[in-house]
Amino acid sequence: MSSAPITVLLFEDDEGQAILTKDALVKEGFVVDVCQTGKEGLERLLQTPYQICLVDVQLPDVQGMELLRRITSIQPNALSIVVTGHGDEVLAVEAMKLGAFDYVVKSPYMGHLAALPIVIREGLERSRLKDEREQLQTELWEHARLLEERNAELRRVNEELKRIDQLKSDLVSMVSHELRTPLATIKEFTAILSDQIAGPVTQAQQEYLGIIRANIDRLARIIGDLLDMAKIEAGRVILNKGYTEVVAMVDHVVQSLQPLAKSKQLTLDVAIPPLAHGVFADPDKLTQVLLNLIGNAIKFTPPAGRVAIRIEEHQSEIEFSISDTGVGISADDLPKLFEKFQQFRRAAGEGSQGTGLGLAISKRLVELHGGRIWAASQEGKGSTFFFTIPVYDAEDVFRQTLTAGLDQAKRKRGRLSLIIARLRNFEELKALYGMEETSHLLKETETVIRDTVRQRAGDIVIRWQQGEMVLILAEVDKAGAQRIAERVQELIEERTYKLGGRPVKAALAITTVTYPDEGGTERELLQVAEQALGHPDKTRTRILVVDDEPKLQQFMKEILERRDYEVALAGSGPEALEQVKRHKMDLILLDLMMPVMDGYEVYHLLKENPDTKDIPVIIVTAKGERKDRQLGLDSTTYNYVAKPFQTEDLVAKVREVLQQQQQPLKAS
Amino acid sequence: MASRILIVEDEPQLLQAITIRLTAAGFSCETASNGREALQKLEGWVPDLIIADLLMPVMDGYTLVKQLKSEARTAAVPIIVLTAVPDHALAHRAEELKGTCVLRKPFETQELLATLRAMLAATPGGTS
Repeated sequence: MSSAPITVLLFEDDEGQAILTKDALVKEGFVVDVCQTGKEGLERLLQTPYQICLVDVQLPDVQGMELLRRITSIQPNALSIVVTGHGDEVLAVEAMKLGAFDYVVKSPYMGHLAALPIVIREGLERSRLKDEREQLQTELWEHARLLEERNAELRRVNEELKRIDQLKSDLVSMVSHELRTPLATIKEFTAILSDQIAGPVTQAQQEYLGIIRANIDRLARIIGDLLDMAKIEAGRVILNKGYTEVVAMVDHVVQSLQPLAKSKQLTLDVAIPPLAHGVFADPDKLTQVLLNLIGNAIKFTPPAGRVAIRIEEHQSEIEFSISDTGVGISADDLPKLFEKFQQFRRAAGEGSQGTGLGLAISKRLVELHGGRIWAASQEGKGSTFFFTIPVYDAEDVFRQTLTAGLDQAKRKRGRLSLIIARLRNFEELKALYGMEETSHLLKETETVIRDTVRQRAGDIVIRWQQGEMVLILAEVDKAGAQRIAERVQELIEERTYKLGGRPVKAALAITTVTYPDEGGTERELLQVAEQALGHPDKTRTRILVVDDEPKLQQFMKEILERRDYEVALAGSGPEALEQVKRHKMDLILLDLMMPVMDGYEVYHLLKENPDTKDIPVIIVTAKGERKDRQLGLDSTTYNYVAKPFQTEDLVAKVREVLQQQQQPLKAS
Repeated sequence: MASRILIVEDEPQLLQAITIRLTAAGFSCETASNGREALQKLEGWVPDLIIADLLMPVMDGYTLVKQLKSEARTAAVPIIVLTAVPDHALAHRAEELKGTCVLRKPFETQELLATLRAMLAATPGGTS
């Protein structure tokens, strides 16, 4: 800018002033042209660009303001600086409104001329800065616009990705359906043939059918692997994680592979130390990993070799290793081992029967558990595969899962439900059979729960404490949780468990709480649940229902349990007497007509025993069977309900008898 | 008396195969090729057990199972749901309903028979 001279057009009708001004500016290195009328100046402007127009607003021909407007219209980039007489500042201000950049007041002794170059230079600098600012502003707007555009584009892409993801998932479902359905038909007809339902089959035919069947199974496995991989890659694998016993699982896998090992005369050498912890894992998925790794080891080890399975417990994880005495894997192949579709011909002679996906799937599954997987090998000597799975720390896992689940529900404005169940006879079972036996029952109920509740959104985490269980259901609303709770209760209560060799029933108090419907924090939710369940030490009234008709038994049990009584069942007289011996009963509902030992006899036996004579009894019997006189009983203690009864009649009678029982106790 | 089984499957040949197999095992079989047809069959008749495919045209297996479980007349009938898509959302939901059991395709014949017998045995008043 300093190199090229600044060009100035001076509008000045006073010749003397014009000369003085021009001289002052030229001295400072400006190039100055002078015009004495507005008309002349405007014509020049049409031909030559100027950086500065110095305008005396009192020209003879054109009114000053009009001149400014026209200058701006001809050369918008030229800066106009107004030169006014003393006392014309009002005019100057008006001029600035019209687009003049600055003004200079003429002084009688031409003192303003010395200031002019500075004003001009400053003006140009200010103008430059202003332009720059505007430029930046424009660029900023442009950036903002581009950003907005890009955002819109991203949203579109995101939508598209979601759609593709859905399509992919639909495709997986569809492929799964389309491939497995014909496979099921082929398998069924093959089985019909080999089972000779359609007629006799020769030895050779039977053998060929066996080959067909083996290949159907192989095809099914391949489809399974492909779909597993597709699901893992689409992020659709949901782990059903929980406390998983390692020893039992490894044993199970080893047992199932034993025949395969035997057929190759391989030794399966399993050494597992006593473990302090289980792992936090999805047992199905972990079994899949073990089956794959041990299966591979067997497959790739030549006959009469050895496959060793070792487990080591570390601080926070359990390390599994599977070694074989196979041909090994070359150092070049090791890094590629866990990639998809890598088939290494490790086996001597034997063609691989896999899909090339087994190890890739195993790696993904282990990593989904938060573990690591790797391999070491020496060519010609054998390979060892290692993987780790985090150990289960119940309290940690529970807290983490609940906190994470609640956070997610808050963020997504979603739901989270808890199912809280208490084993009502926990204390009693513990007293009778000991904690260890009772914990078998807890384990078994947990298995039932895991099999019933297949979580669609996250891990299943179950925490047991003193016979009380909390189950976290992420993304499940109240209705869903209640449906699951009902099912869980039914399944657990309909089962018969064996404790100390005796059949035992589990009685469950169960309730659900849902975020945010019933509470906003972990504490609130657990409190609500606690209240709904009632206090564990509050002893509930226990009623023994003695009836040989299971349906009626069940019916009475349901009616009474709905009124919060604890109900025990006996199907015969002897069973009733046995129950009474073992458990404290507050009331007995007794059917009269029963085989083996009828109600009369039971009644008498109860009354004759000092331990049981005070237990009130309500006789439940069909109309017309009433032979109470034969009982020879004191009429005041005799209570009776006739079948068929109304639900409310039975309940009213139960209440009445229990109250009678309490009064004399209070009085004494 | 032989237990009566209703088999609902849209794949005619698989339907045929299951029918042959169950008949040979001593069950008395009726068939339907979708949920709607099954409901029509069930109008004047209640079987001891139902085997239903999950994904079928016209009316899918889940809708059928839900409908049957909501009616007093059929609520207690045990149902085996067959599915080629084991982790289909509907398979999970069907599994949550009372008296249902899900089997994945392709299934072992022995597995189907064992499940069927176990469910029949667990049904009060059921004959197996």
